[in-house]
Amino acid sequence: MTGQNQGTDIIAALDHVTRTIEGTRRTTVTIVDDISMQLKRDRITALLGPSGSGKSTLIKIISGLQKPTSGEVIFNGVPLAAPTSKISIAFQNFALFPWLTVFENVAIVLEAKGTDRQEIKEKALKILDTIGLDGFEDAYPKELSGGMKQRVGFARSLIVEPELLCMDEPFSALDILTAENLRREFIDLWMDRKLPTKAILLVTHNIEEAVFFADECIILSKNPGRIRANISIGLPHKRNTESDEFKMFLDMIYQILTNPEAEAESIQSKFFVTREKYQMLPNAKPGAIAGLLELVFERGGEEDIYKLSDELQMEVDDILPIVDACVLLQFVRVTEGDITLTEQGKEFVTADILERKVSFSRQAMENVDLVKQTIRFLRAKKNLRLHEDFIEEYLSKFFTPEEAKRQLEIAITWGRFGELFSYDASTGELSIEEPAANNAHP
Amino acid sequence: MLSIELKKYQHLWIDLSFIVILAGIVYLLIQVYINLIVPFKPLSHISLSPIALIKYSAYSTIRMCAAYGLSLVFAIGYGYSAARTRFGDVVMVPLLDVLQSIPVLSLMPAIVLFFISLFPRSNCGLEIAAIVMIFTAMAWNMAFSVYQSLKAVPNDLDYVSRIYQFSRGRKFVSLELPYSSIALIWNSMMSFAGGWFFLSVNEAFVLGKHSYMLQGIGAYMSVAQGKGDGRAMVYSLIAMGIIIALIDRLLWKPLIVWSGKFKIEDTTAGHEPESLVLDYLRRLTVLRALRRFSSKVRERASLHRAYTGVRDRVIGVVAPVLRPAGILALVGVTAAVLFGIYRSAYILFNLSGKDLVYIATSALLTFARVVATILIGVLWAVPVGVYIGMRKRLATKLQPLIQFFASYPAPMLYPLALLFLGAAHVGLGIGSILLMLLGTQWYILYNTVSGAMSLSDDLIGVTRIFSIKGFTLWKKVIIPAIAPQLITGIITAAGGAWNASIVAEYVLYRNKIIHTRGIGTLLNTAIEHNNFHLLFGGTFAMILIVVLINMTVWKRLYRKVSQLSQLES
Repeated sequence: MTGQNQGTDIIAALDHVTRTIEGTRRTTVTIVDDISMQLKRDRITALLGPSGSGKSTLIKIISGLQKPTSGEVIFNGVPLAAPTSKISIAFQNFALFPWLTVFENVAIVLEAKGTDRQEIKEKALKILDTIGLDGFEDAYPKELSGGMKQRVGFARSLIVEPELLCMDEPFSALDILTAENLRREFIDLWMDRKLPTKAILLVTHNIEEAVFFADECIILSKNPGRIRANISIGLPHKRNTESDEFKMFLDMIYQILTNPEAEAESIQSKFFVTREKYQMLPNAKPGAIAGLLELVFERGGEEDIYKLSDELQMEVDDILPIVDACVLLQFVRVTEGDITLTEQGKEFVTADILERKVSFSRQAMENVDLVKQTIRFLRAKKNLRLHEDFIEEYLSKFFTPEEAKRQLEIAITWGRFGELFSYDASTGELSIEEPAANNAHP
Repeated sequence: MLSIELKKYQHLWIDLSFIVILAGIVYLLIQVYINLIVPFKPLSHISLSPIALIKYSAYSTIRMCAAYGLSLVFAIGYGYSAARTRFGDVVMVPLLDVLQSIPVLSLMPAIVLFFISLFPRSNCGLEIAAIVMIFTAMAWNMAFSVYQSLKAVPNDLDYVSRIYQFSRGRKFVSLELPYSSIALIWNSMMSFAGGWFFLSVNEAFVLGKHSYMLQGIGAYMSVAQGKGDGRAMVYSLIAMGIIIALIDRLLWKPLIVWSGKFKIEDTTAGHEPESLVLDYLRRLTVLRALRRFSSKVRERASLHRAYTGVRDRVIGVVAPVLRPAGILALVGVTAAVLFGIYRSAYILFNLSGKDLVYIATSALLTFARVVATILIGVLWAVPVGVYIGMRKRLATKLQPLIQFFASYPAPMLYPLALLFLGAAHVGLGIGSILLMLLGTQWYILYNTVSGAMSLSDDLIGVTRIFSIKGFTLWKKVIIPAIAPQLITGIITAAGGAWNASIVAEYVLYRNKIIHTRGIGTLLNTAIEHNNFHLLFGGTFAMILIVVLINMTVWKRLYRKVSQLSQLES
């Protein structure tokens, strides 16, 4: 959400990075193979992969702790030669000095840079305050819970104001509730721009964590680690983990990870690449559509959506699919929250029930792809009959199985209302009624 | 109100007592200094009165502490260079192996003659020589400990130091030294005990026609033994026990408790050790005020700048010189080593056939004794050590006792052991195995206990849950888990046993020397007869055997075993 206007601002990049190690009996084992990726300003990139995918190796290479066997790390436009505090790491097991207090653990990295003591004190207290460690300055790590320890880890990696913050499984050593809580706090701080870093790289094996944080999610294969997919997650941050979109991403990534042999793109395309290509029907019954149109007509053919929802005592979210359906069928136009009836809309409202069906079927045939496609399928058959599973199968190329089912249901409801085709629920068969088809096809 | 008043007075008492203790230490140091500047007197008079023994005990303790301080500085410096420089693993560690296997007796003539010639007119030279000899019993082992710790610094913490670009000094102070300190402190206790071991040799010895004696508890023991004065021997045994107990309470216990904060495993599980002395020191208002003052000083920006300014200037002056100096030193050392090799070869080739046979048979005999010692030590100390180490509460209870026995210099018990051997009609040929065992078994026990203690509670829990018992438990869990430490213990014990042969094969008893053939006897007679060729030949044979066995057996085993435990993490 944030980075889109500055999408080309690359903080760090991996350029065809490969790392191999000496195995037993003079073999070489490839840990990561030909990895190229970019870490952009204001973006959180997640590296997701099973164990053995070289995630930790990649983080060490990006931070300069390990040298790639071939390829290089580009940081701020130049090859990275050695570790720098501009690329800091938060570790899975915190990596705190047990013999130093919280304050000292955080302050030491500035001391190492030779920062003035007064400044160290100010900065340390500020970051500890931001990260929720106020009052724990003099505690030793062993007195803290896991969550608090990781806060210290975050504070230490942030006090240097890095350009890139790498996080190596930062929540995996914590219990679920603590992790959940810390994740939310962390993303809040990130969105409020309170974290002094320009970009974040998150290494994780937790799909939900990746979908929750990432603007871009890179999925690695294992043995060796190669990039399988690079998925852009365009959901606005402070994501609702219960939302359909969130679950869709979870489902998709889950399928990619559990099918290591499959082509990641084909799985992806099932979920959402072609989804944009295929028109999506809003879930609205014809009766509801007619009701809305009548209501608008009674108010002079023009009304504010919010006012409408208010009067109907319906949530805007509930009314929107109906409005969307009316827009799709070109019965109304929506401009800046106002609904206006079109000519077709007025014609529909003022007609009697039979004329309404004709009007509806015409609009559906003109505007609704799935209805058109269904008719085409039916015509192609000699007996003009077709089982619903055939269309569902066709839809599964574009939608998740669940959504495909729902789309078909909507199309059938609309088609039956417009008497474009009929449907036998007991057999699951669709068939064309010749006269209606003739009517609809001038 | 009242309690507040009391607390106030408590602090007063604590501070007052500290001042008294401090005064006592200063007085002792002055005494030592006076002792040092007396005219050269190789053969100090030793009184066998118990009152004099108190003074002697203090002198010996100060000598030990001085040697320990020296060893500490050396160990940290050497261990650090060995772990962090390019040639460390190749040159410095093998050299340490060699140094560790040189018996103090072989170095004695060189050390004593060198320092006496350095201070021909005062007793200073002899004192320093004694300290340096004690040093040779402590330093090598401690340096190894530092080296090993530095090689095992946790990866994550090392990464932190690299990411945030810690300077070498900062990394050393904030990471490497704290991390090494726990192992170093435990090792120090052992090395300190090693120092007591040779005290009687180092305080009273014969070099050719000259006899030397320094005032100290070791010399007291020698004199008592020589005169067959049973009462004095008992006095010295008791005094030694008191010193060891005191040093344990006043030095090691507080250090161990204090070093608890350097533990990496950061769960506060189980029993936290306590130390009254540490509590006492922590309560000192004097020290607390000092700490507050120093932290305030450090916070002063201007002072900090001044400090870094001075530091940078010093570095600026020293740094350019450092490299040429290093190269010069390297060249010097190489030249010395080459010359040494040439001289050694010369001496070795000029040894008579009779001498060579004598050296070979002696070395073989001692070798057999060392093997027997280790076998017996392992057979009893490993089961006992595991039993103790796996029961943390028992271990914490028994540790003081084990430490006491381990620290007690075995040679002081030799008269008792000889009485027993005499009664059992066992000759010194076999009996010296018992004498060697008295000193070295503790190394095995020590390391086994610490190995077993490092078995994680989780691992012990798993064995309980799945009732892994008996042979499987030992073969699959315990032995692999304690193996690295056990092997370290055996290496040290073997080295100790070789060294102990010097005092175990050649014993002064009731003013009479009892001896049996072996490398220890060979070295002793060589020194007594000023036969440096034989001394060198014997030493060379000993180094050769010890280093060869270390390299071919123990090091390989250790590498295998530690690789296994590395895979685990």
